[in-house]
Amino acid sequence: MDWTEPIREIARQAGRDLEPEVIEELASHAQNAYDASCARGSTTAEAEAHVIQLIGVWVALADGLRRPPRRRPAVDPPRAGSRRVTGVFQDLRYALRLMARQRGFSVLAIGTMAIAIGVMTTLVSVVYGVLLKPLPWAEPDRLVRATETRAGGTRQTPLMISNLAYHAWREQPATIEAIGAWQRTSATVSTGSDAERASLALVTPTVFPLLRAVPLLGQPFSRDDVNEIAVSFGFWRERLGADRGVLGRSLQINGRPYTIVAVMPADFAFPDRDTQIWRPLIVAPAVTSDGHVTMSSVSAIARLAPGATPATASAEATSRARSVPEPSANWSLMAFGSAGPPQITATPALDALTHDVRPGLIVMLIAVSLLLLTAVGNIAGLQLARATTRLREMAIRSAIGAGTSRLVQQLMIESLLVAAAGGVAGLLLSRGLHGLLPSVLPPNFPRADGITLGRTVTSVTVAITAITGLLLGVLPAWQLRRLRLAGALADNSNGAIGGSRVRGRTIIAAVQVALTCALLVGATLLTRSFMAMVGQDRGYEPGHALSATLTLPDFAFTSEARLEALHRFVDLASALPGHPTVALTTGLPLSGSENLTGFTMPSVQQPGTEVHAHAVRSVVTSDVFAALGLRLAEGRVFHASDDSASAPHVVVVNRTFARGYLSDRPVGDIIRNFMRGDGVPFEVIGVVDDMIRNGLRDQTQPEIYSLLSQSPGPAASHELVLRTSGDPAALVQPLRALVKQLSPAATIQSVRTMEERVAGSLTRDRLYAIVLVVFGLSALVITAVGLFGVLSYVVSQRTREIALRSALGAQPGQIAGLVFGQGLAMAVGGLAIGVGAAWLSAKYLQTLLYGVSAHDVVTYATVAVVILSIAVVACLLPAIRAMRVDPLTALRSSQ
Amino acid sequence: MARTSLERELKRGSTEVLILALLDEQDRHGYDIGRLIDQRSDGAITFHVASLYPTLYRLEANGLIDGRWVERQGQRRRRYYRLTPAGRRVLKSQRSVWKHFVVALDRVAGIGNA
Repeated sequence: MDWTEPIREIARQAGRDLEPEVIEELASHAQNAYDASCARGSTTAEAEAHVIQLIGVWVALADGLRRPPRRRPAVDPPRAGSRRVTGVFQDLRYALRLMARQRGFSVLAIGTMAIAIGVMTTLVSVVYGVLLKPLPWAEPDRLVRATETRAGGTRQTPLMISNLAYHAWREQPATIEAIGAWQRTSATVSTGSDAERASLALVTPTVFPLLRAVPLLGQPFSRDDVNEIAVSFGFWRERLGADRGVLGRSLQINGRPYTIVAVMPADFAFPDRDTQIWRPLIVAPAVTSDGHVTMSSVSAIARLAPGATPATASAEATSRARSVPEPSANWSLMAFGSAGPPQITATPALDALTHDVRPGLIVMLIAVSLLLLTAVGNIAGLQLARATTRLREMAIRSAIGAGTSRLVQQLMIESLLVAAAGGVAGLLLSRGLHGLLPSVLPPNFPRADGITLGRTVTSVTVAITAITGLLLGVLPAWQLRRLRLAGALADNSNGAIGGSRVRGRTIIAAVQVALTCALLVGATLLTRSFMAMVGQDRGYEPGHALSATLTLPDFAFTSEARLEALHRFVDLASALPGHPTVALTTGLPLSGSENLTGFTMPSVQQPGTEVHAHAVRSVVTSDVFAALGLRLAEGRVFHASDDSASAPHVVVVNRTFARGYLSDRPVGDIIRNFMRGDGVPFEVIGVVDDMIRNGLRDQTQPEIYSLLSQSPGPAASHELVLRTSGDPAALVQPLRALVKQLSPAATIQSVRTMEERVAGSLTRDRLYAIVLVVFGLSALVITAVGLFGVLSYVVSQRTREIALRSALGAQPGQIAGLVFGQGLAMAVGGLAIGVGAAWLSAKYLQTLLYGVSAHDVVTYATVAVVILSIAVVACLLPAIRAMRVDPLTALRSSQ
Repeated sequence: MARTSLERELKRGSTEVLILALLDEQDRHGYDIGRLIDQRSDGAITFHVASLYPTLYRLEANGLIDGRWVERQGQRRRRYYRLTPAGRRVLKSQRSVWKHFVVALDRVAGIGNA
């Protein structure tokens, strides 16, 4: 039944004025009471009477039955729809004001973020541009590079295959669409008016369709037996005046005419950006029609057929290469140091190109991520410290109605703002760093020209920035959940959250120590490895030696004239100031030129049998060992009198050759066939120490040194070595003058000291070491500052406790012990984690290391000592401050 | 007389926490609240309408609870009350205050052993 009428009536009779809503609510209550009464067994009449009686009592006491008006809010809240957005703007404005006011914090936080994000972005950009960005060809995933190896081979020629394998695979392959080959060279190119050196690529005609290259003008050559060329966009613009009617024009390359049939577009860079002209390459057949055996190595690229994988392609190429009889075992000995069966490996083109630098880049990227985390840790620590001082503010905000979500939103906006500012500054910094990259990256760094700060990298940076911002905001926000309003408002001790805030900062500091430890271990290992590389005995003496390439071109010199000129040049150069020791060789270490030879000779170790031998064959003048600083192990070195065609034929070999092919007493052994296969005997007069010719990790090759006058017609180019007691660089100018004096046609190139060559071969390793050391030291400084910050904070928080302790008789030493104990606990904890993590992950660093183990105990111990020392330093000041706490003042002021 | 006076004082002091606690479980209307207090306290605590509703109105005016009319089919509409976040916070602190108070009372007056 409806009780509103009875209630209204009774109220009216009693002279009470009830609000309609109160009447309605009482009616609802009356109905419940009525129902309950019925349920207890009353009749409806009894129940009704009972309720009417109740209503009478309610109305009699109705004074309190009045809704008090709701308190008007001090400020009208914005309408519901706009509240969220308005709030964001409000918080943003507030955060900006706060940033401007707390300038020190802002500069520190944004600056740290900017540096970390700037360096990180640059490395992400390098990693993306080099390792990840697809190659600029159509369907780049289907392009593979081929490498030929031989079982038991001692020599690696990455990404090269023999002409034998090329031809074997080329005819109607199943797993690839097409294969192309190329060789790089340079030549004198004359456009009519001027002649200049240009970079050339000799390419098979298949290369263009294989890469899906579309020329800007014309059509590239489709046969390999034509005198046609394609030119690059740059060459066309700079040397040919961007003439659109250039097709059909003739160019002289090394004195021979070639017709331009195509101009390639600006983005066609194959095999690299330097290439200006493409000329047809004829890959010679292994055995020519007249029975000659020709052997060559070419770089090869293939496009996988749809559905084929590098593995199936490798299998096909290998089985095909093995099915062709090898015309000469000596050739594979020469090329691979083994006559074992061929093995062809197809590698995705991108992997093949970047294989060398991948481990290094990944290590750098991990290192910079650790650095970023360390830096973020410091800013988070600062944020926490700041949040402590803002507790009252938060409490007031909460008291006047800000919900937790609103407070969190405000903290998040503040953090995101710091991160965003840091991110923008970081991007700008990264742009600057991109400008520096070309001078920082080693000259042979693959795909270096593809590194740009593009959209992908920028998006990654934005993502990193956002994540960092959120991370920065989460900690102070997390602390908010423990906000005790009354406590925070009531006192000014800033300690309303107390313990957990210190714990948060302690954990951050420990994590920073751990990250720094991992970084420092990496940096120390790489540095030790680099030192080992520099200090490695290479078998020769790089100091005080100058090297260069001397070329006496074919068009100006006959064999006899060249031989005479070379000897004359050595004599003249020996008379230069300081009387350097001068020699020529065709096999200078780190020059990239070495002549491998494979040959069959009567075995010295087992007379009566033949042995397949291979060796690096260097044609030298007599002083080469003194000039290079090679050490004699047995016998004697060349004398000047040996260097004559009429003198007895003699050679010097290295230890590896002697061990492999000669008797126990190698001096006096006779070897044949290593130059012409003509069986002329050469007596071994000496054995020299092995030297490291190129990479430190390459296998040592057997070597034979023969004299210039006793070797077949001298080559056009020789490497020149001058050893002096003074500064070798001082010889550069006189040397150039001497070459001019020798012949106007003679040229000298690549003039460098041997030390520069050694340093040049280590640029990559040096770069890795430097970058990691810089990161490691930065992390160390950041961590020290972080530790210092936490400890100072702890001391300020514990002032009362410290005061109490000293009032109760604690000695200053005990007080300092408190601080050191806490600081060192953080450091040791972090150190344990860091050392453990570094130990477990160091194996990934192993490929970059030389002469030092990834688990080198000395390194780990050094890092531990350094970090602990830094931790002690970071503890010092807070400890001193703690000792100076005056109990009286501290206790009085805290009352 | 003394006993009733103590009871009145105690009741007055505990009204808020009782109501807030019941609303912490679920939204309820006034009759339900009164009935549950009576039922759960085995009749030891009862609320007269004249004190129950004024308390509810005061709590609502202070923003600790929120009342709204709910209409169900076949029933007259009822005013349901629910706890606001502020109410939840106050309940939490009141619970803690009461807990400490009861423990202290026990320690001092041996109520628990009585």
